[in-house]
Amino acid sequence: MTGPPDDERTGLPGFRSWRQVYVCVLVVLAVWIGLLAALSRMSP
Amino acid sequence: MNALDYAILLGTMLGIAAYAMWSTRGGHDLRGYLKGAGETGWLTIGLSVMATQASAITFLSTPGQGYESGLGFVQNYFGAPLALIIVSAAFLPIFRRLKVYTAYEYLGHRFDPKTRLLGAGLFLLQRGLGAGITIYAPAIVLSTVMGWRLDATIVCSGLLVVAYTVSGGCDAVSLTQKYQIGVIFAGMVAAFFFLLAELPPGLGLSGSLALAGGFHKLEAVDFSLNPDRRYTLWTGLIGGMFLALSYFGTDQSQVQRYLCGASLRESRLGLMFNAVFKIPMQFFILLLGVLIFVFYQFERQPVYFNRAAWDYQVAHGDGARLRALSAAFDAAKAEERAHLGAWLGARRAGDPSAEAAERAASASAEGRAEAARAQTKAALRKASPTNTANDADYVFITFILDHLPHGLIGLLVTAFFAAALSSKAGELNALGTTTTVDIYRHLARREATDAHYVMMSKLFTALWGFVAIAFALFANLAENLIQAINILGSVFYGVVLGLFLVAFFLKGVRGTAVFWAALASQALVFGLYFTLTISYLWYNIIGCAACMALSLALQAAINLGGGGRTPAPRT
Repeated sequence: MTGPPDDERTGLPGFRSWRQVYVCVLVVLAVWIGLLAALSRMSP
Repeated sequence: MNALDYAILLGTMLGIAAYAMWSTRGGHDLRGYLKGAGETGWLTIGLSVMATQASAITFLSTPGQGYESGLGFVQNYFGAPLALIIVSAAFLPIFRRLKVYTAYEYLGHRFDPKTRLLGAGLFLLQRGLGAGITIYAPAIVLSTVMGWRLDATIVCSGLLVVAYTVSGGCDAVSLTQKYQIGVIFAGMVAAFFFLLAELPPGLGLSGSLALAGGFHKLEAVDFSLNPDRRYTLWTGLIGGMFLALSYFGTDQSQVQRYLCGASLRESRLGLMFNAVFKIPMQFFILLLGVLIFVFYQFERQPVYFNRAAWDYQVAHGDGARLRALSAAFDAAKAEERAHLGAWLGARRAGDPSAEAAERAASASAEGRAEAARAQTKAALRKASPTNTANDADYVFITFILDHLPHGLIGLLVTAFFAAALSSKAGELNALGTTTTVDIYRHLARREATDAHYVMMSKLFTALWGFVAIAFALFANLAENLIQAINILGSVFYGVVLGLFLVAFFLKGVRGTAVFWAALASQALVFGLYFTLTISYLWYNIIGCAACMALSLALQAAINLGGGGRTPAPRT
C-alpha cells in the first residue's frame, strides 16, 4: 500500500488527507453558527 | 496617557521594528526578499494573514459597532472559511507549483501578458489609490482623542513601517506581524477581563449577556431572506464568501503572505488557522463592544463620544440645543440606571415578574436616551457636513482613556498602532512586489541581476510608502475622497476574482476572450454602480459572474470564427 502523495500529507494527527481537514473546518463553521444562533435566542 | 503609556508605546513599536530589521539584515536574493527564506511556519503565516486583514480600524471601530448594533456584524465573516478552503484546495497548489511571486504572474502563465498586466493593473489601481487610508483612518481617531498633531502621527507611523518593510522585505513583514498581533491580542484580552471586573457586583458575564439580550444586542444570526437587511446568514455566507475569495485568493497583499510558507503544508495550515479562528476573533471583538454597552448602562457616558467635535460645535455652533439634548440624554440614562439597579436586585432576589417589569422600564428609558443621541448626531452632522467620521469609532478609545489604568492604556494604544502598521506593511510589500515583478521586470527590464531587482523592489516599496504618507496627509482636506476610494476599490474585486475563476475552472477559455470579457465586465460594473443603489457587496458577484459568462461567450464566438485552436497552456 502507498500513502498519500507529499502534497496531500497534512502532518496532523487523525487527518490523513486535506479533504478531512476541510470537512473538519466546515463542521467547526457549522458549530460556530449554531452556537451564535443559540446566543441570539437570549434576546427576549 | 502618562510616561508609562508612552514608554510602552514607543518601546514596543520601535523594539519590534528594530528586532525585525536586525533579524533580516544582510544581503537578499530576489526570492528571499519577496518570498522570504522559505522557512516560514504555519503559525507565522496564519498570524500574518490575520494581521494583514485586521487593520487598526478593525480594533478601534468594531467594538463601537458591537456597542451600537450588537453582534450581527459577525455574519459578514461566515463566508470566509468557505473561501479559505477554496483558496487552499484550488488556488494555492497552482501558485506554488508555478513558483510565482505574484498572483498576476499566474494569469500570464495561464493566459497571456496582457491579461497579467490587466490583473496587476487593477490591483495597483485599487490598493495604490487606497494606500493612505490604512495610516490615515486610525491616525485621525487617535490624534483627535489624544490631542496629537495629525500630520506628525501620520508621518511617524508611516516612516516606521516604510523603514522595516523596505529593509527586510517579506520576512520582516511576517516577523513583525507575528509580534504585533501578539500585542493586539494581549491588549484586547486584558481590556476584556478588566471590563468584566469593572461590571457591577453580582452581574458577571451571564448577567451581562442577559441584560444585553434584553436590549437586542445578542442577535448574532439573522435567518431572514429580506434583501434589505444588510447582515443576514445568507448575505454572510454567499456575499461574504465572494468577498473573502476575492481578497484571500487574488489580492497580492494576502497571496504574498501565504506564498512565504516553507511548504504547501505550512501555507495550507496557515490558511486553515484563519478559517477556524477568524469568526471567533471577530465575535470576541464585537462582544467586547457589547460589554462596553452593558458597562455604560451603570456608568455615566457622553451623549457623543467624539468629544473634540462636540466641544467645537458647543463653542461655535448651536450650543444651547446641544446642551439641551445632552441634558435629555443624561436624564433618560439616570432613569435607566435606576431601573437597571432594581432589575439587578430583582434578579438576585429571584423575582421574575419584578425583573421583567424593571427590564421593560429600563428599555423604555434607553429608547428615549437613544433618541436624544440620534438627534445629537444629526445636529452635529448638519452643523459640519464634511465631518463623515462615525461616532462609534470613538466608543472604545473613550472607554479606554476614561476607565482603564495607565499601562493598560499604553498597551491598547500600542495595539492600535501595531494593527495599523501590520496591515500597512502587508500592503506595501505587495505593492512593491507587483510593481517590480509584473510591471518593471515584465515591461521595462527583462534581463537583470537579482541585486538589481531587489534594489528596484526596495525603491518601489519605499515609493508606495511615500505615496501612502502623502495621501494620508492630503486626505485631511478631503474626507469624502476616502469614501469614494473605498467604494472604487470594492467595485474592482468581482472582475479580478472572475479572471482567476476563469483561469482555474474554465479550461477552454484563452487570453483574448478573458481579457476583453474582463474589460467589458468592469465597464458593466461601473455602469451599474452609477445607475443602481444596491449594496456594494453585490458588485463582487455581478462582476465575477459577468466576467465568467462573457469569457465563455467570447471564446465560443472566437472558436466559431476559427481563432481558438491554440491549446491552453498547462497549469
